Amino acid sequence: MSLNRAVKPFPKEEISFSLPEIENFCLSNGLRVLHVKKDTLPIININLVFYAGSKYDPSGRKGLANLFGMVADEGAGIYDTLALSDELDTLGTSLNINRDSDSIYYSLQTLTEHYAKSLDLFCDVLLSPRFEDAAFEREKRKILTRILQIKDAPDELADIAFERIIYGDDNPYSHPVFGYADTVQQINNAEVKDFYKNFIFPSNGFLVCVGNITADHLKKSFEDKLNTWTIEGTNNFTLVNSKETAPKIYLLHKEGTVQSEIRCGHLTCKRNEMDYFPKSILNMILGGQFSSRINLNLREDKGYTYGALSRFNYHKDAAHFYVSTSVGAENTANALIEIDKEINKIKDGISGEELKFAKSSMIRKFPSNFETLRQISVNLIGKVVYGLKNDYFNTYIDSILKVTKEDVNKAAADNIFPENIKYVITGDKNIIRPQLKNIMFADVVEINSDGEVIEG
Amino acid sequence: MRKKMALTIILIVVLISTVSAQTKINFTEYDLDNGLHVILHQDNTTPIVAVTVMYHVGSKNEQADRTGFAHFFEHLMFEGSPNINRGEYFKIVQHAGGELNANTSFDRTFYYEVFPSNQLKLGLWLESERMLQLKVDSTGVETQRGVVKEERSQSLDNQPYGKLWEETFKRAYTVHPYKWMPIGSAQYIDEATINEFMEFYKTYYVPDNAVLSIAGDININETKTLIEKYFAEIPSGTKNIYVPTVVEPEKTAEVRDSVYDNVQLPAVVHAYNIPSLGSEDYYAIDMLTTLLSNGQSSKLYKTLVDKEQKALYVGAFPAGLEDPGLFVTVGIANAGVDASSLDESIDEIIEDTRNDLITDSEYKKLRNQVESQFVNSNTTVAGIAENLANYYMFYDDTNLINNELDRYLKVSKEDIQKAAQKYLKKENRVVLYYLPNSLKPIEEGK
Repeated sequence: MSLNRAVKPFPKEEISFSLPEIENFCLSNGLRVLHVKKDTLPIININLVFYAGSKYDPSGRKGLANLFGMVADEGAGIYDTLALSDELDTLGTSLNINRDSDSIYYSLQTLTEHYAKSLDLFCDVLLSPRFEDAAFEREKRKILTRILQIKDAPDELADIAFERIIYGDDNPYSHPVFGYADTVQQINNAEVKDFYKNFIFPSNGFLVCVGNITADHLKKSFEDKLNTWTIEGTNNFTLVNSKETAPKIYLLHKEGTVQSEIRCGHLTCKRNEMDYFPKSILNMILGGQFSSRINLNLREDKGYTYGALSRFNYHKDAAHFYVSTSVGAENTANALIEIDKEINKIKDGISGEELKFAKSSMIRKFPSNFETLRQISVNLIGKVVYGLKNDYFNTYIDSILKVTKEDVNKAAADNIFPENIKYVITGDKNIIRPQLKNIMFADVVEINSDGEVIEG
Repeated sequence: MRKKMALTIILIVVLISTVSAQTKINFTEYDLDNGLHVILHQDNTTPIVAVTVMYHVGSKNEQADRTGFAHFFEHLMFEGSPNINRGEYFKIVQHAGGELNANTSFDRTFYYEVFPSNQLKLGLWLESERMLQLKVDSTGVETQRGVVKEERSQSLDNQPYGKLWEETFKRAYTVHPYKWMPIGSAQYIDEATINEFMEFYKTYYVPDNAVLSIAGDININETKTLIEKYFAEIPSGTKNIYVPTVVEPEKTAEVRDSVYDNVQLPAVVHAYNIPSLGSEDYYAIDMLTTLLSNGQSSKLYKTLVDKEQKALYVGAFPAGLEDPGLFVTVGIANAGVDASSLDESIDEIIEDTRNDLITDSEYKKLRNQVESQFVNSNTTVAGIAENLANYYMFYDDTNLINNELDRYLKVSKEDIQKAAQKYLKKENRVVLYYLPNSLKPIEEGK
């Protein structure tokens, strides 16, 4: 049997893939639960998600939700901070409270053999956090130092400034999850305790569990622990939109940096609307993967960067489109020109070949999104947060198949607005400024490390 | 007391066997006639397959005037073959719903694709094409020179503390090629010619210097037939593979130095020379690392971050390498704390591990943590394929994927203390202060 190497192999048949079965139920206190049993490893992964992210931070207290998350697992029940972490480390269990703009996540990962004891500790943290003043002061100092440290990281500074500029100061998604130094400074421990009362209650969240445990066992173990947890809190949220700002290019000066961090984009409509799939395909083609137009241009053709990408970034109640890359400082203006070109060009339409490629890639990749416990958890959390319909995963492939070239072109027309793009650049102005003189949309202002305009 | 001890031991044994019974990773391994080592692991849980190739070449095989060569060559491996045009490699994988990447370390270069399992043949074709007949032209080389220069800038030069490892290794090794990092120097890559690249390819990218490791939704027998078809015709290597034989001499005095960078807070690094991967002492050192820095209740974290609040961050890492490696602690000082004060505190904790035996409860915690890490290290097919290749290449014992935990659990409290006494001593280390530019002394005229 001789092999003809010139012929690229192709599969004879499609794979069969059955989605993990999702069990939905509620505990008697009303807490919604999603469960998937997966027995490949003796591990259980649990996420208790509350709608309590940084978008709820009161004005002047940006960073409150984040600091709450940092303090809430510092001692609980009979354990002080060290005793608690010692108990967890002894079990080899990880218990973390993660924070983003929309939610707080109480996350537990444990070996099956240590589930009962780990659950006890998890519920201690959930129901009887200590909020000791010493722990509060320590965690506050940690985050303030971390904020100071970010001033060294051009990539993080660019992210922070970019989101502040496109969302605008009044919008609850405009500030970084950890807040600003001056707003964190204002927060006191009483506010953290109030935050707990206001946001951590059963009807303000849901539980996702994936792993080596049956639904019955999960249900019973949580019922036993949480049946008296029936409190209610208040959770108010309104989305305010800010006015558009005028300048196009915002420059954050970092003396002596060898690369420029570039972020550019604008707000777009939120997720769970009709055009999610056309937009996803559009982005795949524009900058969503290695062979996308933007990466092939900036990296593989020009060699300006190690990588460039674009995304639609979806919060629960808002979204934005952006392009992100870091390029050699000497190529800053060239890179801006190429990005601008690609963004404009995508509005001229995509080819049938590109559509086929993107669809094939997304459809075939689908099963690999369900390999690990964490992946499955993330998928289930997304389903709830974005309010996706019950058969979302079952119809995922059909939804992609249905997308036409016209749908994608319409998505580009409706969602990409080159004239609204704002550019944020972190880099050395002495190298960048002279380059910008030669490009037509060079309406440049300088900003500080918090993303505020300091000079016209 | 004695009775209770015995019971505890039995309990631990039972416990471990439960875990390993549930996570046993079955595999088949064999050599093709050309010397390619093949490892296959079948796991039909998810319809995906990881196709990986590990080449036994890394930055330690480089010459001092060609640092970064192995990593740069990794980029060229995506350039194509007579049957795959430049720029097509990524497209073919992504069109098939796959993911791909590669990375280069001091000791090896690793390539992987994860595909839907019906694309196994495609993966074998792609990997066999570039093992058999890589094609590189000057356009590709020139472009990748730009890309790799930016990769270095992005991951080292433009990152706070980005050059910390480079500065540490540079001082920890005086003669061994671990003294430069895999990313190397852009200058040397600029000087390299296409002929040198092809010579490197013919020397190191040969089947008898590689491991093909495949894990996922496969049928073992069909896969063997396909591997024979795609890989058997690739000729074995004929050139002499350069492996450094130079031995880093034992240090006789502590090395102390300071470097300055664009950072706000000082960092303190302690780097001790340790034995190579897989040795008994290495396992003791690795356990010590967990004891010192795994989790909030670990010795370094609880003392320096929680209690004394001298550090914003502190961690310990074993750089386990094929030739003798390093044990490194890194602390970043809190605002207002100076480097020497943090230095002293880290030292005290290290001193404790030399002076005192760890307690029974610390020991129990340590073993549980190691067990938990072990179970969590095989959660993806790509990870399993890499671990299998790694155990074969560097330990010559693929089955360690199932029983390496025993080697850790064999380490006693006394072993840990002995290892600390033997290696964590001042004359065996580099102390590096990584300081803000603002603290830089005024240069005298040179």
